[in-house]
Amino acid sequence: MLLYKSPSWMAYALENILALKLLHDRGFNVGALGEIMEGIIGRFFNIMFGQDNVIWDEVNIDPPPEMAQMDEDSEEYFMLQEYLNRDHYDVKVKIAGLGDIVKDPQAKKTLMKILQKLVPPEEEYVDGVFPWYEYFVNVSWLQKENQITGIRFHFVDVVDGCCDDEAPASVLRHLKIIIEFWDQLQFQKEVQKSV
Amino acid sequence: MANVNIQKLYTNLKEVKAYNPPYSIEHHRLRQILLSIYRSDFDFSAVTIEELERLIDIYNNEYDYDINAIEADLEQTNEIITALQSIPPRRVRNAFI
Repeated sequence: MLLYKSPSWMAYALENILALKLLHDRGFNVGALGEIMEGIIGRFFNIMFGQDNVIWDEVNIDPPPEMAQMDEDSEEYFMLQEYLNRDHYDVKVKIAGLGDIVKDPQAKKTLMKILQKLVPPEEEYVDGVFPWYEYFVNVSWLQKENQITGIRFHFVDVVDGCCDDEAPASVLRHLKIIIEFWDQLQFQKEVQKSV
Repeated sequence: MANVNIQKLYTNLKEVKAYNPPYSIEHHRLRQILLSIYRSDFDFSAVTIEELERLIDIYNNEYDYDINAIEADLEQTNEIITALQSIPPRRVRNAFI
Protein backbone atom coordinates (compact mmCIF):
# COMPACT_ATOMS: atom_id res chain seq x y z
CA MET A 1 0.00 0.00 0.00
CA LEU A 2 1.36 3.33 -1.04
CA LEU A 3 1.13 5.72 1.85
CA TYR A 4 0.13 9.28 1.23
CA LYS A 5 3.25 11.28 0.44
CA SER A 6 4.25 14.77 -0.57
CA PRO A 7 4.06 15.79 -4.26
CA SER A 8 7.81 15.37 -4.67
CA TRP A 9 7.62 11.81 -3.31
CA MET A 10 4.69 11.08 -5.60
CA ALA A 11 6.66 12.36 -8.58
CA TYR A 12 9.58 10.15 -7.51
CA ALA A 13 7.32 7.10 -7.19
CA LEU A 14 5.69 7.82 -10.55
CA GLU A 15 9.12 8.11 -12.17
CA ASN A 16 10.03 4.72 -10.76
CA ILE A 17 6.80 3.29 -12.15
CA LEU A 18 7.57 4.83 -15.52
CA ALA A 19 11.05 3.25 -15.49
CA LEU A 20 9.45 -0.14 -14.85
CA LYS A 21 6.87 0.54 -17.56
CA LEU A 22 9.68 1.14 -20.06
CA LEU A 23 11.07 -2.29 -19.17
CA HIS A 24 7.62 -3.89 -19.26
CA ASP A 25 7.01 -2.56 -22.78
CA ARG A 26 10.26 -4.19 -23.91
CA GLY A 27 9.11 -7.60 -22.72
CA PHE A 28 10.88 -7.73 -19.37
CA ASN A 29 9.08 -9.40 -16.50
CA VAL A 30 8.91 -6.58 -13.99
CA GLY A 31 6.58 -8.37 -11.58
CA ALA A 32 4.29 -6.46 -9.26
CA LEU A 33 4.56 -2.78 -8.52
CA GLY A 34 6.64 -3.45 -5.40
CA GLU A 35 8.56 -0.86 -3.42
CA ILE A 36 8.27 2.14 -5.68
CA MET A 37 9.39 4.58 -2.99
CA GLU A 38 12.76 2.83 -2.75
CA GLY A 39 15.74 3.51 -5.02
CA ILE A 40 15.02 1.84 -8.33
CA ILE A 41 18.45 1.57 -10.00
CA GLY A 42 19.42 -1.79 -8.47
CA ARG A 43 16.06 -3.34 -9.30
CA PHE A 44 16.17 -1.84 -12.79
CA PHE A 45 19.63 -3.32 -13.51
CA ASN A 46 18.62 -6.71 -12.12
CA ILE A 47 15.56 -6.89 -14.35
CA MET A 48 17.40 -5.70 -17.45
CA PHE A 49 20.68 -7.59 -17.14
CA GLY A 50 19.84 -10.40 -14.71
CA GLN A 51 20.73 -10.34 -11.03
CA ASP A 52 23.68 -12.71 -11.46
CA ASN A 53 25.27 -10.36 -13.99
CA VAL A 54 25.28 -7.24 -11.83
CA ILE A 55 27.89 -6.81 -9.09
CA TRP A 56 27.90 -3.84 -6.72
CA ASP A 57 31.15 -3.38 -4.82
CA GLU A 58 31.18 -0.56 -2.30
CA VAL A 59 34.43 1.38 -2.49
CA ASN A 60 36.11 3.97 -0.34
CA ILE A 61 37.35 7.06 -2.12
CA ASP A 62 40.54 8.59 -0.79
CA PRO A 63 40.46 12.33 -0.26
CA PRO A 64 42.54 14.21 -2.83
CA PRO A 65 45.95 15.30 -1.43
CA GLU A 66 45.12 19.01 -1.86
CA MET A 67 42.29 18.60 0.63
CA ALA A 68 44.81 18.65 3.47
CA GLN A 69 45.72 22.24 2.50
CA MET A 70 42.12 23.44 2.26
CA ASP A 71 40.38 25.60 4.81
CA GLU A 72 38.09 23.24 6.71
CA ASP A 73 35.50 25.99 7.11
CA SER A 74 35.36 26.76 3.42
CA GLU A 75 32.41 25.84 1.22
CA GLU A 76 34.70 23.95 -1.15
CA TYR A 77 35.94 21.74 1.68
CA PHE A 78 32.38 21.08 2.85
CA MET A 79 31.21 20.13 -0.66
CA LEU A 80 34.15 17.82 -1.21
CA GLN A 81 33.53 16.19 2.15
CA GLU A 82 29.87 15.72 1.25
CA TYR A 83 30.88 14.04 -2.00
CA LEU A 84 33.33 11.71 -0.24
CA ASN A 85 30.68 10.83 2.35
CA ARG A 86 28.28 9.57 -0.29
CA ASP A 87 28.10 5.80 -0.88
CA HIS A 88 30.40 4.94 -3.78
CA TYR A 89 30.10 1.75 -5.80
CA ASP A 90 32.07 0.03 -8.51
CA VAL A 91 29.26 -1.52 -10.55
CA LYS A 92 30.15 -4.28 -12.97
CA VAL A 93 27.49 -5.41 -15.43
CA LYS A 94 28.16 -8.46 -17.57
CA ILE A 95 26.31 -8.46 -20.89
CA ALA A 96 26.23 -11.63 -22.96
CA GLY A 97 27.24 -11.12 -26.57
CA LEU A 98 28.53 -7.56 -26.08
CA GLY A 99 32.11 -8.60 -26.92
CA ASP A 100 31.08 -9.68 -30.41
CA ILE A 101 29.05 -6.55 -31.08
CA VAL A 102 31.80 -4.10 -30.11
CA LYS A 103 34.24 -5.76 -32.49
CA ASP A 104 32.59 -3.40 -34.97
CA PRO A 105 34.29 -0.05 -34.17
CA GLN A 106 31.25 1.97 -35.21
CA ALA A 107 28.92 -0.04 -32.97
CA LYS A 108 31.41 0.27 -30.10
CA LYS A 109 31.60 4.04 -30.56
CA THR A 110 27.81 4.44 -30.80
CA LEU A 111 27.17 2.40 -27.66
CA MET A 112 29.78 4.22 -25.58
CA LYS A 113 28.52 7.58 -26.82
CA ILE A 114 25.11 6.74 -25.37
CA LEU A 115 26.57 5.60 -22.05
CA GLN A 116 28.69 8.73 -21.76
CA LYS A 117 25.46 10.72 -21.51
CA LEU A 118 25.13 9.28 -17.99
CA VAL A 119 28.20 11.17 -16.90
CA PRO A 120 27.98 14.93 -16.36
CA PRO A 121 30.75 16.91 -18.09
CA GLU A 122 33.20 18.69 -15.84
CA GLU A 123 31.63 22.05 -16.75
CA GLU A 124 28.64 20.93 -14.72
CA TYR A 125 30.71 20.27 -11.62
CA VAL A 126 29.99 22.73 -8.83
CA ASP A 127 33.23 24.39 -7.72
CA GLY A 128 35.09 21.39 -9.10
CA VAL A 129 32.96 18.88 -7.19
CA PHE A 130 30.70 16.23 -8.72
CA PRO A 131 27.09 17.53 -8.46
CA TRP A 132 25.07 16.22 -5.51
CA TYR A 133 22.12 15.31 -7.76
CA GLU A 134 24.13 13.19 -10.22
CA TYR A 135 24.77 9.46 -9.93
CA PHE A 136 27.40 8.36 -12.47
CA VAL A 137 30.96 9.63 -12.07
CA ASN A 138 32.26 7.64 -15.00
CA VAL A 139 31.52 4.72 -17.27
CA SER A 140 33.84 2.35 -19.08
CA TRP A 141 33.91 -1.07 -20.68
CA LEU A 142 34.19 -4.06 -18.38
CA GLN A 143 37.06 -6.17 -19.63
CA LYS A 144 38.41 -9.61 -18.95
CA GLU A 145 41.68 -10.67 -20.57
CA ASN A 146 41.43 -7.77 -23.02
CA GLN A 147 37.95 -8.83 -24.07
CA ILE A 148 34.97 -6.56 -23.48
CA THR A 149 32.42 -8.45 -21.41
CA GLY A 150 30.16 -5.68 -20.17
CA ILE A 151 30.02 -2.18 -18.74
CA ARG A 152 31.38 -0.67 -15.58
CA PHE A 153 30.22 2.35 -13.63
CA HIS A 154 31.51 4.47 -10.79
CA PHE A 155 28.16 5.07 -9.13
CA VAL A 156 27.55 7.40 -6.20
CA ASP A 157 24.27 7.21 -4.40
CA VAL A 158 22.37 10.38 -3.85
CA VAL A 159 21.69 11.31 -0.26
CA ASP A 160 18.00 11.63 0.59
CA GLY A 161 16.47 15.07 0.85
CA CYS A 162 16.98 17.34 3.82
CA CYS A 163 13.68 16.35 5.42
CA ASP A 164 11.17 13.50 5.38
CA ASP A 165 8.97 15.33 2.95
CA GLU A 166 11.64 15.68 0.28
CA ALA A 167 12.22 12.87 -2.21
CA PRO A 168 15.66 11.83 -3.52
CA ALA A 169 16.97 13.36 -6.74
CA SER A 170 15.36 12.10 -9.92
CA VAL A 171 17.00 9.15 -11.63
CA LEU A 172 14.61 8.81 -14.57
CA ARG A 173 16.86 10.61 -17.05
CA HIS A 174 19.67 8.14 -16.32
CA LEU A 175 17.41 5.13 -16.62
CA LYS A 176 16.15 6.37 -19.98
CA ILE A 177 19.78 6.49 -21.17
CA ILE A 178 20.29 2.87 -20.06
CA ILE A 179 17.13 2.01 -22.01
CA GLU A 180 18.52 3.82 -25.06
CA PHE A 181 21.73 1.78 -24.70
CA TRP A 182 19.68 -1.41 -24.49
CA ASP A 183 17.65 -0.52 -27.59
CA GLN A 184 20.83 0.26 -29.52
CA LEU A 185 22.32 -3.03 -28.37
CA GLN A 186 19.32 -4.92 -29.74
CA PHE A 187 19.56 -2.98 -32.98
CA GLN A 188 23.25 -3.84 -33.35
CA LYS A 189 22.49 -7.49 -32.66
CA GLU A 190 19.96 -7.45 -35.51
CA VAL A 191 22.48 -5.74 -37.79
CA GLN A 192 25.08 -8.40 -37.03
CA LYS A 193 22.58 -11.17 -37.65
CA SER A 194 21.71 -9.77 -41.04
CA VAL A 195 25.36 -9.52 -42.17
CA MET B 1 -10.03 -2.76 14.14
CA ALA B 2 -12.54 -5.05 15.82
CA ASN B 3 -15.05 -2.23 16.21
CA VAL B 4 -14.89 -1.05 12.62
CA ASN B 5 -18.30 -0.62 11.13
CA ILE B 6 -17.77 -2.55 7.91
CA GLN B 7 -21.11 -1.62 6.46
CA LYS B 8 -20.29 2.05 6.95
CA LEU B 9 -16.89 1.58 5.30
CA TYR B 10 -18.54 -0.15 2.38
CA THR B 11 -21.04 2.70 2.04
CA ASN B 12 -18.16 5.16 2.05
CA LEU B 13 -16.35 3.16 -0.58
CA LYS B 14 -19.45 3.12 -2.78
CA GLU B 15 -19.71 6.87 -2.38
CA VAL B 16 -16.10 7.27 -3.47
CA LYS B 17 -16.71 5.03 -6.46
CA ALA B 18 -19.80 7.00 -7.36
CA TYR B 19 -18.02 10.32 -6.85
CA ASN B 20 -18.12 11.91 -10.22
CA PRO B 21 -16.97 15.50 -10.18
CA PRO B 22 -17.30 17.52 -13.38
CA TYR B 23 -13.67 17.21 -14.38
CA SER B 24 -12.19 16.45 -17.76
CA ILE B 25 -11.83 12.94 -19.14
CA GLU B 26 -8.09 13.27 -18.60
CA HIS B 27 -8.63 14.18 -14.97
CA HIS B 28 -10.76 11.10 -14.42
CA ARG B 29 -8.23 8.92 -16.20
CA LEU B 30 -5.31 10.20 -14.15
CA ARG B 31 -7.34 9.74 -10.97
CA GLN B 32 -8.04 6.16 -12.04
CA ILE B 33 -4.32 5.47 -12.51
CA LEU B 34 -3.42 6.98 -9.15
CA LEU B 35 -6.15 4.99 -7.47
CA SER B 36 -4.79 1.75 -8.96
CA ILE B 37 -1.36 2.65 -7.52
CA TYR B 38 -2.88 3.30 -4.10
CA ARG B 39 -4.83 0.04 -4.27
CA SER B 40 -1.70 -1.87 -5.44
CA ASP B 41 -3.60 -3.33 -8.40
CA PHE B 42 -1.72 -1.21 -10.92
CA ASP B 43 -1.43 -2.88 -14.33
CA PHE B 44 1.56 -1.89 -16.46
CA SER B 45 -0.37 -2.84 -19.60
CA ALA B 46 -3.26 -0.55 -18.74
CA VAL B 47 -1.38 2.76 -18.82
CA THR B 48 0.63 4.58 -21.44
CA ILE B 49 4.02 6.19 -21.08
CA GLU B 50 2.43 9.53 -21.98
CA GLU B 51 -0.09 9.23 -19.14
CA LEU B 52 2.64 8.53 -16.61
CA GLU B 53 4.76 11.38 -17.95
CA ARG B 54 1.78 13.70 -17.67
CA LEU B 55 1.27 12.70 -14.04
CA ILE B 56 4.95 13.24 -13.26
CA ASP B 57 4.80 16.69 -14.82
CA ILE B 58 1.71 17.50 -12.78
CA TYR B 59 3.40 16.47 -9.54
CA ASN B 60 6.47 18.43 -10.52
CA ASN B 61 4.24 21.49 -10.87
CA GLU B 62 4.87 21.77 -14.57
CA TYR B 63 1.24 22.69 -15.09
CA ASP B 64 -1.38 24.67 -13.28
CA TYR B 65 -3.40 21.59 -12.52
CA ASP B 66 -5.83 20.86 -9.74
CA ILE B 67 -4.06 17.81 -8.33
CA ASN B 68 -5.47 18.61 -4.89
CA ALA B 69 -8.94 17.66 -6.03
CA ILE B 70 -7.71 14.24 -7.15
CA GLU B 71 -5.64 13.81 -4.01
CA ALA B 72 -8.47 14.68 -1.65
CA ASP B 73 -10.69 11.79 -2.65
CA LEU B 74 -7.72 9.48 -3.16
CA GLU B 75 -6.66 10.10 0.40
CA GLN B 76 -10.15 9.30 1.63
CA THR B 77 -10.26 6.15 -0.49
CA ASN B 78 -6.82 5.16 0.73
CA GLU B 79 -7.97 5.32 4.33
CA ILE B 80 -11.00 3.18 3.60
CA ILE B 81 -8.95 0.58 1.71
CA THR B 82 -6.37 0.47 4.50
CA ALA B 83 -9.14 -0.14 7.01
CA LEU B 84 -10.69 -2.85 4.85
CA GLN B 85 -7.35 -4.59 4.41
CA SER B 86 -6.92 -4.88 8.15
CA ILE B 87 -10.13 -6.89 8.50
CA PRO B 88 -10.20 -10.67 7.87
CA PRO B 89 -11.24 -11.23 4.21
CA ARG B 90 -14.28 -13.33 5.10
CA ARG B 91 -15.78 -10.54 7.19
CA VAL B 92 -15.21 -8.08 4.39
CA ARG B 93 -16.72 -10.42 1.82
CA ASN B 94 -19.76 -11.00 4.02
CA ALA B 95 -20.26 -7.29 4.33
CA PHE B 96 -20.13 -6.85 0.59
CA ILE B 97 -22.68 -9.57 -0.25
